[in-house]
Amino acid sequence: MPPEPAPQQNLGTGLSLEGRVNIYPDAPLPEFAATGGTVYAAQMKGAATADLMAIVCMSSMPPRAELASMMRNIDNPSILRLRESGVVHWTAHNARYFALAYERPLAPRYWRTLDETHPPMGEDALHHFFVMPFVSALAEFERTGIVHGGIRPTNIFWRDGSATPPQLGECLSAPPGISQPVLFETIERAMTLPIGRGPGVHTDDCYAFGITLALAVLGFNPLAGTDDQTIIQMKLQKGSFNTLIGSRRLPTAHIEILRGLLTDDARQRWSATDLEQWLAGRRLTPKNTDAGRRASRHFSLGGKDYWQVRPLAVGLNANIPEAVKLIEGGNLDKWLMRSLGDEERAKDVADSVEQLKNSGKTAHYDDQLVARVCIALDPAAPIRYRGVAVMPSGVAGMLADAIINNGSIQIISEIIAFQFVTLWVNAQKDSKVDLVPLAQQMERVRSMIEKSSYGNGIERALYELNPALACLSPMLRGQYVNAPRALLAALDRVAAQNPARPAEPMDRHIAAFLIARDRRSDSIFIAMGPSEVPSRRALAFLALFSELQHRYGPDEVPHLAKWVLPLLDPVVKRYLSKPMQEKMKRLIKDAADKGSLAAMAHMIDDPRRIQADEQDFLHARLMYQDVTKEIAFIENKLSHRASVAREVGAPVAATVACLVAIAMIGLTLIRAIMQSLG
Amino acid sequence: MANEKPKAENKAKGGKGKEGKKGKGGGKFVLVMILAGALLPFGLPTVLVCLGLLPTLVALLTDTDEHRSTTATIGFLNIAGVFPFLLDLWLRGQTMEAALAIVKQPTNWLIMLGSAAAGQLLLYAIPPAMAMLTITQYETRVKSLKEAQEELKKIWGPDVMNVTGLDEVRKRNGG
Repeated sequence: MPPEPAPQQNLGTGLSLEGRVNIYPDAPLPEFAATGGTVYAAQMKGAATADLMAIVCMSSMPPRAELASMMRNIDNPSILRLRESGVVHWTAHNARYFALAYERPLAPRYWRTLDETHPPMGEDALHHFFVMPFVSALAEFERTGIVHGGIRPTNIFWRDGSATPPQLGECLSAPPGISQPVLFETIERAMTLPIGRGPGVHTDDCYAFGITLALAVLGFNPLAGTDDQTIIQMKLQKGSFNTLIGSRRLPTAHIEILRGLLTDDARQRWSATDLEQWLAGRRLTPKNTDAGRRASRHFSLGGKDYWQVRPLAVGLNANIPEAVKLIEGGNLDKWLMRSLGDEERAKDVADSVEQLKNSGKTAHYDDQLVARVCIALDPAAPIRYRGVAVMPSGVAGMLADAIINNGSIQIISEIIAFQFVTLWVNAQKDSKVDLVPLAQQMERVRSMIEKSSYGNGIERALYELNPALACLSPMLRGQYVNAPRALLAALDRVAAQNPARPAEPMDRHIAAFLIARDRRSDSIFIAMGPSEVPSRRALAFLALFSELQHRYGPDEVPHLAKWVLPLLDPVVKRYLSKPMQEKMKRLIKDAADKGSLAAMAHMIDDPRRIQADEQDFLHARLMYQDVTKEIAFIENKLSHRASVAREVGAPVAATVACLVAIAMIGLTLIRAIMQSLG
Repeated sequence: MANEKPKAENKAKGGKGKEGKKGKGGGKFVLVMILAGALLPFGLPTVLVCLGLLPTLVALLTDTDEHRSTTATIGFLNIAGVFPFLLDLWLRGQTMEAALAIVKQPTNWLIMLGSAAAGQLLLYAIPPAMAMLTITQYETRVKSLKEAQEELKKIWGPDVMNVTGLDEVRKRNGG
């Protein structure tokens, strides 16, 4: 059945995706269901018809937002065209989600389930209408460096045998490999937990294409109904090609391409370049190195006999206590040397045991020992530690998942802290050079986890390892803050909508997010730590937020400003003058009403004003002391009233007497003069 | 009461206090002798009339005030009381008869000594009145100073009274 044509009827009110696309929540498209969220009809702004589909990433899995801009630039008929991406405000949930607007597929899903049976296709039709378009799509991915991570028949839109090129479905709404069945993953990735598979490499996509091609060639899934562990065991023991094709008769060309794509040695696996050469007529001869080397004698563990190293590594990991005894008792070393004759591997195992003993890291010693030995035995396999199997590049995704879904962060922290990634990278012989940056990054992150200061710890590791992850602060739930420029507006909305908001608009997640995304020094965040004095913390908040407002806007965040306002009380109290405190409160309240954090910071943290206040305080102190001295002096006088009378009154009496005497003498002289004159 | 402190000081000084007092009295005696000697050129009649200045002499000898206010008060009025008789004596040619005529009249002595008594009266009346006035002024000043202190405390808080460091003051204020 072809998909429904774009509906022309009333789709209801559209929600704007960054102002460029309208998404219609009343028009879901379940036939295009994606891993990361629900799919709805969508329409480019100004377009006549709603010919787009939008995946609104409402799931708890982080979308691969970092690849959206690259994906938008890919215009290949075999890859579903991404037209727009961004954040949409979903009014029904009063939340913001990341959304991807794709052109709608031209055909229905190629396979609806992996248990379906399809008529086998002819060699030429398959070659022209299936293989060639997909080789072009894989070449595009190889060129851009994108790993699709979801190539499988159920994620392909194509009508059987149609001349229209098949289209690969979306791959950005969820972490890579999260919904990929074990069958389509290489042995190493299949052994890994889906969330811990990591982005993978280009040849992983080629492998998935090889499996898809095999199913298309056969017309059915030969492993339908087989459980994942059995599939992994079969691939380990027989190799992927033999597991899937076995002794089935196929055209030579198909055998050749499938051998090339399904080889279990990643170094030998065909890439898009190899496929293009093959299409151009150059015959490549894929080596049949699928099955592992068998030992002359078996190794007994947990009641089972193991003849190959890779299954043995799986067995060791499943029987930790017994495995520890066998490793420390030297049984494994003897088996590797005598039965397998692999001295190099035996040396690697001995070295990794020795390293652990010398490292002094004794926590979970047994688990560490077995994990290290498993890496030495099967370097390509994931890190297997305490029930978790994760590829080194998948540690980031697994950490994000653990934090989002309240999983065990402890085990992931230990994987980083015990340097398993570095050990794993060192165990890779040929591809070690390409993986060194990963090991270096993990070492950097390890030092961040060890720091407990604000802005460091596991949260910092999370954002450093996941460069496109939105901020996971609990207070920003539903806000999808994927960049520092979106933070203030989101906090303003939180302040406006949530009266029961936390006391402070800052937590360890926001701090770590800003350090990682804005490449900031962590010094300002250290000042926000709980051990700091309240005024210093509040000033650090205000300085940071005002700077963010200055750089990114918005110009007015009144709700956030009012959120910050009570935190500034201790800062106001830095001013020693009470009238100045009142004045500052009035000024910052006015600035908060206007939503200007910068104005608030300018008002309250003016060094000249603070200095003047200090000087005035010191003057007031001197004045107070002078007044105290004067009061003491006067009170002393008052306590000796008689001496006051003598000291003040006697000179006055003398003065009066003097004046009277002068007057009397003067009168006497005048009278005498008058008498003498007659 | 005012004399208690010098007494206490003298007590603390012991024997030396007596010597000091004796020494001071000796000085005054020398001063009187000098004044008397100075009057000699004016002649004996003048000296005779100047007997009317005896209250001043007594005040001079008994005045313990640093500024000699008592001596000055009594002295100025005593001089003013004696001066008319001296002038009369000098106008009559400064004879012994004229001098004796003056000193023989009791009313003359009343005037001369009464003027000194008027000085003593001033000393009784003016200092308490002045003290009352001054104390009222002091009390008004203390009141206004205390109000100023309260105002300072209201503006700057109780820490304006002490010498605590500014950081500590801010910490106490919650800043």
